[in-house]
Amino acid sequence: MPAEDFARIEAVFAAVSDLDIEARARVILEACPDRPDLQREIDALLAAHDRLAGAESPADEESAGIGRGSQIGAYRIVEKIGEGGMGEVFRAERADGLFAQQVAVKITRSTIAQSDLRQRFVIERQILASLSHDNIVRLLDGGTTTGGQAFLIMEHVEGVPLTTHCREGGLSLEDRLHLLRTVCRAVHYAHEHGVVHRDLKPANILVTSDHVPKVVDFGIAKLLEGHAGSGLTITGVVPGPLTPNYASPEQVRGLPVTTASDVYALGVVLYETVAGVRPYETDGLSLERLLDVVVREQPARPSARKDDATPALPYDRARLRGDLDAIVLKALSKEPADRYASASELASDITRVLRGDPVLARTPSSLYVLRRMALRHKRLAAVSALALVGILAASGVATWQWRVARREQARAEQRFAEVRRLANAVIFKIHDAVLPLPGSTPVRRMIVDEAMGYLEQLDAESSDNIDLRLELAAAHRQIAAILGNVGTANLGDRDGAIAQYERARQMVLPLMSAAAPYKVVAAVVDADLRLSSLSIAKNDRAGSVTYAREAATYASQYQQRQPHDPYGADLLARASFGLASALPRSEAMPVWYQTLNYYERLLTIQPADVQTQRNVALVAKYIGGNLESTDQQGALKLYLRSLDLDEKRLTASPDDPRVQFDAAISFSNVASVSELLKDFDTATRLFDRSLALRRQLVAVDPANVQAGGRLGYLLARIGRFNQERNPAASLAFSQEAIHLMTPLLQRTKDGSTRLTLARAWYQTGVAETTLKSREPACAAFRQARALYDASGVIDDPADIVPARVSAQKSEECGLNTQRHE
Amino acid sequence: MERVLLRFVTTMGDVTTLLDRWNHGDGDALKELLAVVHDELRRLAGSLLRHERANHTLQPTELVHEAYLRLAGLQEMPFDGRRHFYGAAAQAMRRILVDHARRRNADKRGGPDQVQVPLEEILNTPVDLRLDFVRVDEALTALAVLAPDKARVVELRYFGGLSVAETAGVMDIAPATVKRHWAFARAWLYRSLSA
Repeated sequence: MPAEDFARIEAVFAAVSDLDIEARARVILEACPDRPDLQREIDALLAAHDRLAGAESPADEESAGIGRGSQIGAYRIVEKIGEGGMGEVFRAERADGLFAQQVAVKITRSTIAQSDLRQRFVIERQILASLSHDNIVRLLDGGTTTGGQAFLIMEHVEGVPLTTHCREGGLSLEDRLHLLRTVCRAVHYAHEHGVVHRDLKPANILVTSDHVPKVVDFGIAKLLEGHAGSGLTITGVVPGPLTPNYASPEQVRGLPVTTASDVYALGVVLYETVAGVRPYETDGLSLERLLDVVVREQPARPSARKDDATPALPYDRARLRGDLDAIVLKALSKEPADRYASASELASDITRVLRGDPVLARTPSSLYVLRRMALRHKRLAAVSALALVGILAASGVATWQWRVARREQARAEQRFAEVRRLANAVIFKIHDAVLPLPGSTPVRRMIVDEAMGYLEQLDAESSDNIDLRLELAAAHRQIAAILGNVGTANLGDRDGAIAQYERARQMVLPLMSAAAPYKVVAAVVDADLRLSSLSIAKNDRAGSVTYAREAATYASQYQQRQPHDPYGADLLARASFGLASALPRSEAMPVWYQTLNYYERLLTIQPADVQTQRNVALVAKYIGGNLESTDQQGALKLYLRSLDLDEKRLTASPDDPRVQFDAAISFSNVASVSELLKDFDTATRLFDRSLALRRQLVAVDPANVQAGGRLGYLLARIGRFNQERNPAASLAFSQEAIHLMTPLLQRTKDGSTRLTLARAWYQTGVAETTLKSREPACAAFRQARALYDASGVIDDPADIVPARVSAQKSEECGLNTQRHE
Repeated sequence: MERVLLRFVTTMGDVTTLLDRWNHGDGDALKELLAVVHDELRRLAGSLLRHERANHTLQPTELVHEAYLRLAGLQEMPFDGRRHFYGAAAQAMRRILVDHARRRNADKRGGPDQVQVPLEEILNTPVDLRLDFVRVDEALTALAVLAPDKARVVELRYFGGLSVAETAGVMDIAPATVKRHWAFARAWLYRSLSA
């Protein structure tokens, strides 16, 4: 069928399938009046559609069904601790019992299936996870369940809401101000990282039993908003994440939310904390009234709240008069520009109140400053005119600096937003939008290049902001992945990918220093390791080694500084692994040893980590394998270490096939080297254990080619082990191997299967010769020879003799046969 | 030294590492990944297929999700990886079922116990194992020539057992589009198979 006919059929079908018969007929006639054949085709499809309509298809709805015992990421749900408009909150703990860490898990009610939303979710999440502050509850992890629901895993904090803590603890004004100041600084920290809380309220500020405030749910409102867009879709009442009592005028009006909105919310919280009441009650108000109150009404000064409803405070309300009134009202300004420029400005003014210094909030008239200063210094006998002039001048400088700082910050924020918008829009949205278009590859290339130009321009001005830098480097890595991806988003540009990773590396390198934080080191090491493996793929071994060496150097420096940081230890082990893989075989050995040491060290930090146990065992096996022919004692030691770990894992998960594989190889490794060391009892015993595991793996999954191959290998190996000791047993094992491997070879045509099979035939030949069965022996040697011939170059030393003997014996057999004739 | 060892070391980190390697330009990683997913699914489906007589149905959703849990383990797979995983799993399930049907057809060619499954059962889950997947596969391959997206939707939803939302996520299209493709593809396949 011609493509345009198909397209037409499809379009008409989509347009009419939900219509009734009459309407369908009308549309179909109109759509293709001149094509009765297409009309018939569409009719037939619609008939099929109607028949199938009753019979329903795969289940569309996945029940949320999350409850006690469910596993989310690496955590197991313990109990539900809350529920809100967005979804549910659970208390959970590590499923693997590694740490006794309690976490809170939030799961959205709705699913986010659209990929741009997921991408955004992932990016936002990464930014939130990068917030590391003592007074901000950490986002540990997140993702989407298989049902498409987003989940977030965060630190679980035992604490009470700020206002409750102040009220029940009867806190003094100073204590309250100290708490608020800490909160302001935490909020400022997040703002510096480009994160706006959007839903600050006492319930989101928990105070622990040791008086430490912790801000909860940073940026979560935005993250979980998902497809809800701007967050405010008011239909009578304010929905969703927003708590109207703390919402700023711009939030209530549905305008963009900025750091200034958080400053406003901090103002409300401060008001409530020091005055005991909120500036205005908005609960249950109609939308109209709410707008009116929040957007237009001036709140009463905290010191003036003396109505019956105000609770008693453990201090004199009059103390709020003046500075605190001014601070609160400045934070609550209707216009964002009239508020404090940042949360840290608010924190500084709180500090000034605590110290008795003049506050920014009050109009810095000379009179006010003089009075303030005079009050503060009233114990001084006299204040000289000169000193006064000095103070005034200083305050002028401060104001000027404040303006500069504010402008700087505005620029940084704007730039940060631009970069993120770019990374989002260009790298994900636009690129993905053109992805399905046929022949779009050059267009995508152009789009990516265009984005790069812009990024580079921004980058030129960002040299002073570490996080912006890291963000940009991450964008470069992202583009590199798109360029070099082999999967869907394929620009097939490996060199381009290398260039991008190189750029990412160059961007972060200047940040490297003796005190560079983990994120910087990890960014460099990550870029290095990817460059190293891309270089190997390009056959640039020297380049690969250079990159891997750099990675190892930086990772090692960091590890020396932070010897107990498991992330650092892991980074170092990975870097060392990368270096060992990059180096030519002849030089790699010492680095493999080092890699082993690093993994061992990591294991001492996290002894129960299964993946680390496995990594230690794997590297030990690899090194052991290289030693086997030259240093059997050394090989044995490594194999035993590996066996020890594999057995531990086997005890823990006896039915896990992967663990069984690992252990099976460990057993036969020790058995093999024991044979070389003439410890035949141990060899026999451990070969048996390995054999039992391998048989089990094949029994569970007879169709698994790999499992079959591994069993066949061992059968042949045990055949060889018995070659001199017990020819009958050798024959039996070798024949079982042949029986198993012959069909395998037919299916896989795999080189190592062919060699194993050749070996088994050879051993059969040897055993039959020992047992004086001449004809079967000849037949076996011929089989072995044919297989060795088909194998081409024989590179394993253990195969050289069998190959030669097989050739020789089958020649002899041939001669003998001829002679008989 | 056992030959498998080196390969074992290089596939360290399992599925996640394979995905990562693939994402970074290692083409072999995809082949390895597909092989791992295929092996795992066939292993999981194996006994179900062997005991077909007792129960004529199979739930791809459960198989695929179980394979996912086993292979991905506790590690959280990056979204892109999950996407590829489900794509690969659906493809593997399709191949497994077609192989199964091919074998059975060879056994029973023209035999008396050949059951005619009503065409309405096509593309329903649980999957009716008595269906002739060789024909379904051919029809689907033919559809893929004209409308690759529609064929992909069928592969993911029917053989991969994914929901509309999951299919939309894997294919990067809107759920409404998935539904539209699905409705058309079903009707189209019905028509091809009844012709």
